[in-house]
Formats: sequence, structure tokens, C-alpha cells
Amino acid sequence: MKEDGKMSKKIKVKAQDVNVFYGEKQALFDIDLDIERNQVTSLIGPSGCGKSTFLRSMNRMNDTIDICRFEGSITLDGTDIYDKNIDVVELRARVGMVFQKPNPFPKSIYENVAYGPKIHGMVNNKEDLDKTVIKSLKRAGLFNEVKDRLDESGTSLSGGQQQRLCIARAIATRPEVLLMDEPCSALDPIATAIIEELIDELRQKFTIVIVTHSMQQAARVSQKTAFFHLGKLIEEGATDEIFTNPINKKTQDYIMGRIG
Amino acid sequence: MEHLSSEHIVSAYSEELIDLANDISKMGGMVENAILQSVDALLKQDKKSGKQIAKNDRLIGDMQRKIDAKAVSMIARRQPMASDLRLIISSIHVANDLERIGDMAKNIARRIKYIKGAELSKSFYIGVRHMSEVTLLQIKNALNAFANRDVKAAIAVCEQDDEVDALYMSIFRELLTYMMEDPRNITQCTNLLFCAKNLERAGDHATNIAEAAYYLETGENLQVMLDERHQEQDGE
Repeated sequence: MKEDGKMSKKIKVKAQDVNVFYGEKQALFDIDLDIERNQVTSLIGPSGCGKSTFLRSMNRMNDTIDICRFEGSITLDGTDIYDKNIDVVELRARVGMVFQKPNPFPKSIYENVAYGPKIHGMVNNKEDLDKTVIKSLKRAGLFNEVKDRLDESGTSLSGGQQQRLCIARAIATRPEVLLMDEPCSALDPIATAIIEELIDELRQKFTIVIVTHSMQQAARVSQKTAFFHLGKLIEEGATDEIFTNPINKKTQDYIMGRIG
Repeated sequence: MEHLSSEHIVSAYSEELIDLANDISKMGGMVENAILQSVDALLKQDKKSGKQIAKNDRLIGDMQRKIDAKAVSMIARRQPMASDLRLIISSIHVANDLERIGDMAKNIARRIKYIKGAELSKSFYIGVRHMSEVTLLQIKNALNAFANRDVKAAIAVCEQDDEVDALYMSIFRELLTYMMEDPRNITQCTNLLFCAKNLERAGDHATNIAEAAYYLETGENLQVMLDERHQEQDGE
């Protein structure tokens, strides 16, 4: 059907019946969620609601936890990312990640960004690599601030700059999806605003999923919002709707700061 | 009330929201009283009450500014969401409509001195009294719909606005006949017509308040909903 064809083009990541367990404990219950292309989707909910677990399921970061077990399916452009033929390292180049605390490598600013393209064999020569590094730094809105000191250590930058360096590093491998796990929670309001502006620009090129504890941030940066509670997806929809007129009582209580 | 079943974690925020809703009720009472007073004064041709009405109008203006200031402060400090946000935004709207109704009352009182000596039939004054009662009921029902977040009551107010309009038209026609009968009545009748028009506009503001009540509860626009409903009915 034509309609279906249109929809599947719009959808970048599709999660169906996702259940995740840490040993005996079930962390996610039957999650169905579509992530749309070139949109920012924010995942909100109280601590321990499963939003980070879900985020990490999308590039198989949970594989690194021995007791973690995944059921269901997540597809990236229709390909099951949990298929046994999937190369996880390659997957993580396609689905990049930015973490809560900026974690630059203890290397130069240049090397931080160059590392990914180099190990993934994405560049042929030094000239290509230089171009990729500069382009990534520019896209991350950091280039002008660091162009004269690319040889300095990444850890010498301020917190906000470090986070933008991590974003530059994540986008250097030209991912299709960018996962952000509370990228601004360690930053001051100005650095936060710069990252939010950046997120809005990056969505032209990438599909972005962001986990945030700040409802205001979710309201500001995302087009779609999904609310998780006790491992379940309670409500998802257009961000405008979720913050002005949510349907579910649990969502209402959470975003309004009421005791359910 | 169902919407208050869950309390804010920050209790001062809950108190501020309740306080805002109470201010709207209080302002509503002031405005209802203003209409009542001015129509009474009009029918009794009591010029002296004008001062009191003007003073009350200043108090109504003060109340509107107070509500606006509280709403702005809450938006800045609490970052309200969902129905809290809708309460704050619609309170600003309702306070504005109430202030306008207050102006209508003031305008009616201002015209008393121009209708002195008009001797029209008793049934005419009964008609004006009736129109003011219907308008007041509309205002009261709209305010109750807002306070109780009562969707049905809000719809009823909007649908009954036609009645106020019809009463205005009948007063208009009646005044026209008086003016044709005796041109010496024209000044008084024109001023009385303005008074009736003010009541009719007060009724329009009551429907605005009902729309705010509907939005507060549903997040949707009442007029759009009614238009769609009418289109559906026409289609059948």
C-alpha cells in the first residue's frame, strides 16, 4: 500500500514488542515505538523507568552487560539490528551515542574526532581526515573556538566544549542516528542552550533520540515525546500535544510535577 | 473536583493555582455585581449611583492586573505544563473578558443621564430587565463552567448566546417604533439602544469565558468543535 510505503520511509527506527531483562528483573515491557527520520524524539520519565535502557537497546550498548537479555525486535531502516549477522561495531558507527558526562579521550582535540573515521577505515588519506575532522567540529559548533589549538588535549576544554567535542566525535563517523543520554545534565544553562541549538541543526542530517530529565528541555528540543513509567511506554505523541494536553493521567501527573 | 485529585509535589505551586482560580471567581462576582448595579440604576434612572459604579470599575481593573501579574510570575517561575498551563493561560483570557464586561457596565451607567425623562411603555423596561437577567445568567453559568471545568455547561452557554442576540433585536425594533412615533424620543432611545448593545456584548464575553472553560478542560477550541458538529448535522 502507498500509505505504508510513505510511513516506512518516514520511520528510521522501529521497536516492536521490546522486552529487556537484567537477570530476573524485567526493565522494559512490550515497548512499541517508531522513531521518525530527521526528527528529535525525547524519552522522558522518572529515574528507573527504562528510558536509558531503551536508548541503549538501539545501538546494542546493553550487550556489554552480561546479565542483560533482549527480546523483541528493533529495526534500523527495516534491518533487524539484533540479527546475528549484524556487525555491532559497524552498527554503533551508524547509531552514534553521546553520554551524560562529557568523556573525551585523553588525546588531542584533533585525535578525539579523527579516531572514529580512522578505525572504521572511512578515510583514505590525511587530507580526507583533516576535512572530516574540520567538518565535524564545525557541525558541532566548536570549530571556531578550537581551531588554533587542535593539538591541545580534549580534556583541557570547558564542560560545554567537551560535550560538543563528544558530539563532533559521534558525528565524525557519519552516523544516521544519534542517541543522547542526558547530554546537558552536567552543563550550565548557556552551554545547554548552545547544545540545544546544535541539536536542532543536527536534525537536518541525523535522526536524534534524547533522554532527558528536564521536561523543559524535552519540550524545547523535540518534535516527538515518549513517556516511560516503570518499564512501560505510557504515552507517545507530538511534543506540543504531550506538554499541553496529554491524554494519560500518569503523563499528566509527571509533567506537571504532581503526586500520582 | 477530579482535576485536583493529585497534588503538586511543590505545595506552594498548588496553592498559587488555587489562589488564581479563586481570584477569577472573585473578579467574576465583582463584574456580575457591576452589571446588576448599572442596570438597576438605568431602570430607576438613578444618576447618583454612577460614582459607586466607576469606583467598582477601578477595583475590577486592579483585579485584572493582579491576575495577570500572578499568571506571568507563575509562567516564569514554575514552567507550567498541560492543564496547569491551560489554567494560567485561560485565566488571563477570562480576566480580560471580565474586565471588558465591567466596561460594559460602566458604559451603561454613563448613559443614565441622557435618558432622563424618557417615558416609554412599561413592557419595554420589563424587556430590558429580562435581557439583563439572561445576560447575567450567561455570565454566571460561564464562570461556573470555568470554575468546575464543566464542558457541558460551557457548550450550553455558547448555544444560548442566540437568545441574548434575539432579545437585543427585539429591543432594537421596539426602540425604532418609539423613535418613529415621536422624534423627540430619539436621543433617549439611541442611548437606550447603546445600553442594550452593551448587554449584548457582555453576553458575547460570557461565551468567550465559556470557550476558555472548554479549552481549560479539553485543550480544544469550542467554536471549532461546534462548527464541525453543525457541518456534520448539515451533512446528514
